[in-house]
Amino acid sequence: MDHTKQIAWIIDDDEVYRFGFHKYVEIKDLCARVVGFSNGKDAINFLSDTRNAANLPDIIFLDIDMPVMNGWEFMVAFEQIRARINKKITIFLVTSCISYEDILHAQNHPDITDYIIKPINSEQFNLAFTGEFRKKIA
Amino acid sequence: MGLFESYLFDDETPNLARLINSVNAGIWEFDVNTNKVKWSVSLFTILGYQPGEIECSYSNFIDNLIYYQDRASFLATINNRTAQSSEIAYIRLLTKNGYEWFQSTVQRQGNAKISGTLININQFKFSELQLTNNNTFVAETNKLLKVGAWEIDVTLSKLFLTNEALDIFELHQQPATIDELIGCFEPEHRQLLTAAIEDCIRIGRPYDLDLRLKTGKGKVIWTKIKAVAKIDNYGKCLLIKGVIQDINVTKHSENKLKSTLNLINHKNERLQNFAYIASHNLRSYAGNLQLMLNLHEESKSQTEQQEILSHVRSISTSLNATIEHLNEIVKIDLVANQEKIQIEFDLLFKNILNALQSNIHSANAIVKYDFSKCPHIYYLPAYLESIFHNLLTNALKYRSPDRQAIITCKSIIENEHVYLIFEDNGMGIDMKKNGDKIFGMYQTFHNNLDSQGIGLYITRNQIEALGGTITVESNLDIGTKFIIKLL
Repeated sequence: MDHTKQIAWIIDDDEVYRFGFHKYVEIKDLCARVVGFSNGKDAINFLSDTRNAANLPDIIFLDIDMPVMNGWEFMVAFEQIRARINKKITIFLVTSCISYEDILHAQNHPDITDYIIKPINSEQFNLAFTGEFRKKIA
Repeated sequence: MGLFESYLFDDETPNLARLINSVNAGIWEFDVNTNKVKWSVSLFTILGYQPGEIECSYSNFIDNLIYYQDRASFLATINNRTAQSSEIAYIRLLTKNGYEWFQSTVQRQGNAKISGTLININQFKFSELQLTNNNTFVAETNKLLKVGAWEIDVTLSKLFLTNEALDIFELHQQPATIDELIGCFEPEHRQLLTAAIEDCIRIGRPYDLDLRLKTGKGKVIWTKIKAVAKIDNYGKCLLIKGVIQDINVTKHSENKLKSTLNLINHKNERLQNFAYIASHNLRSYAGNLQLMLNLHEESKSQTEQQEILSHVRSISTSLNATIEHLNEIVKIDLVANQEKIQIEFDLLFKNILNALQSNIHSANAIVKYDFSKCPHIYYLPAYLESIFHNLLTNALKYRSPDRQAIITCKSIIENEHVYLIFEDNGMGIDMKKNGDKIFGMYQTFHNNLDSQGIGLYITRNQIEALGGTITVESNLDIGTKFIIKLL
């Protein structure tokens, strides 16, 4: 699949980061559309709504530390609705400060493709969107 | 046979002589007029000699056998002419094995004769000496350890305290009743002791308590009370035997150690928070800044570049705010050492209400307060202002959209501690999910844009820097209650 036709989500409470992410992807023409959410809850609500079936993401960049619903809580909620989602979604965990526990958790999580530590460099961006980013351990 | 003439009970009364010679006592007779002395065979024996092995004479006995320090007391018993009954003295005599203790009894036989007995009491004397030594040793040890013993006779419901125990209580006489004894303890510990004694009587459970008591001289000291039950064959408690120890000095150093440990723990926590901010927040600003600069380079359109620059500006503002927060946390330790003053809760709280008047008005909130139970406190005014300010702004910020906000604040005294109770009927927090995070740094739970996650963190640090604590009870959509122990 042509990655420039993909829909990417950025779930992060940092507004500046969401803007930067959006702009960067736009300038580099990495995908068709970027949608931002400021916390996991809003994203889950969107995913659960069947009317949004046509607008589901191909790739999600998920922050860990967020108010209302954080990254790990999002993953728990995601597992519960995943069966109803008729699309393969790649999830990257993105955070500026990752603890050892988070790394282990991310590596062992079947739905998380990999974790990326902020700031994401251009190479990582490219790899993430072209689908060449794969689990290092697996 | 001339020598034997000086032996007593030799041939005149042979049966009696054999009997007497076989016991462990020596018998002598002294003729005052002739200065002649007769000894029984047993007297030689108890001194460790064969009859006739040493000279049987008054002068030998007085000059050589008797220990010089005991001579005077022995002679006094001989020379006492008025005494009717036997005179007793405890003297040391030189036996073949060295000096040993004897009990000497002296009796006058008319005017001319004096007779007496000597019994070896060396073993007994040694045990007695040892016992006295032991008793002194125990008493001295108890004094050093500040330990006293006590006893409750359960059947008679009677109490007895040793002198050492009375010394600890600084009492001159035994407490008349158990209740009187319990009354010596500080009010908050009486219930504990009463229950322990009752349990000990009822089921024989031993106890070991650290309790504070007020001595007869009005001194308040920490003591350790330990007790065990003496039970009969049916398991019924007859007697409670216990000790009491003055542990005031130890307890104070223990408490000091505890509070130092607490302080260090809190400082450590603050340092960890610093590390967290440095690694997380500052890092994310640095990352964002880098991202923006990269975008700025790549961007071709001017409007886009302008937009990017505006974000650089907002990063700079947030970075400044974070550094300001860090500064505030550093200041907490510095300010905590400043001088405390007497503060009227009422006055200070009204001041804060004035400052927040417009916020309260626009929120249409009702603020009630009652500081009558504890009108003032010795505290840092800057901290108390900050605590009130933070709690009030929080309560206003997180008020429920469904009802009018009612905020109450009151002060109370409990167990000599001053508490503030601060309550609202706002949105509340999910305690199961966020209860442990509420006082952490940069923790926000609501989707409010003006939530910074710094207020409660600073409030907690200020309270703890002055030795207090803050706890929270909350229910989602019902309200939040902060219980603050100030002092």
